[in-house]
Amino acid sequence: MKIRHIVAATAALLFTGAAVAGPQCTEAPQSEWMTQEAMKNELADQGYRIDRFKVTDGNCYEIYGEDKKGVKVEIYFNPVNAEPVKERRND
Amino acid sequence: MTDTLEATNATRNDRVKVWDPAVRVFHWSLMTAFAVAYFTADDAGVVHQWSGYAALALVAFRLLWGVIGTRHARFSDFVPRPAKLADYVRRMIRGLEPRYLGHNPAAAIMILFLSLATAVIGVSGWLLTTDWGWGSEVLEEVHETTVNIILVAIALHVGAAIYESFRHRENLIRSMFTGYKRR
Repeated sequence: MKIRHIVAATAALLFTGAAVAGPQCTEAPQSEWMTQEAMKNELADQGYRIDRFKVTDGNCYEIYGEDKKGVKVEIYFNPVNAEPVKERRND
Repeated sequence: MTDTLEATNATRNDRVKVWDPAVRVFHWSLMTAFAVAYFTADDAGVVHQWSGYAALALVAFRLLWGVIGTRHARFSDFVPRPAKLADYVRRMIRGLEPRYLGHNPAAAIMILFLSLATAVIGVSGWLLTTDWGWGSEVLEEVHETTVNIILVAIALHVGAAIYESFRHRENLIRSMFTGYKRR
């Protein structure tokens, strides 16, 4: 009886386990977003090296990479206008 | 006055020092480091990183203390052979597990598991800050999934401590603060 309760509680916890939440970048529909290619080109022009590019649950284009000074960065961009929303630097 | 004194002495006599200060400080420091890291996860900034390094250092220290520490801190005192663990678990399922002054065999496995999971979380977290691991999806999965697993383990750990406290009529959580258990 007790064991069953423990198992149930355990299962509940496992499935509600938190994932790290990023910011919300836009409410605009995807049709208004820049293409991923355009975003990547824009960033390359600004001197970023992109190691990883992803579309987040919060409607952001998120990149991991290095800025032009070689500092490791993780940046969330608004996919409509390419404005940075949140930035994490690891220097 | 005399009565109070006698009562105090009686209490002293039926309790015994089990957990040395290093074990207790380790336990609550690790809990604190984990909590701080957990609640600063969104930022993953300096505080998050250093609480992770603190957790790694604590586990490293505990491994050492498990070899050179006081009696009930030593792995040789509490890490069971498989047969002993199986026997304990069988008794536990029937609600008949014996009381241990030190860590019981199931608790021993929990301690090893929590230490291992902390090491995995700490090392994967550190690697995520390096050139090599920056932005790695695999490392991120390992880091976050192990956190979810350790949360379940922590829930079991706390649940078991409370259950065993009722079962053996002693306050194990208080013992982890004071170091004393009833004889």
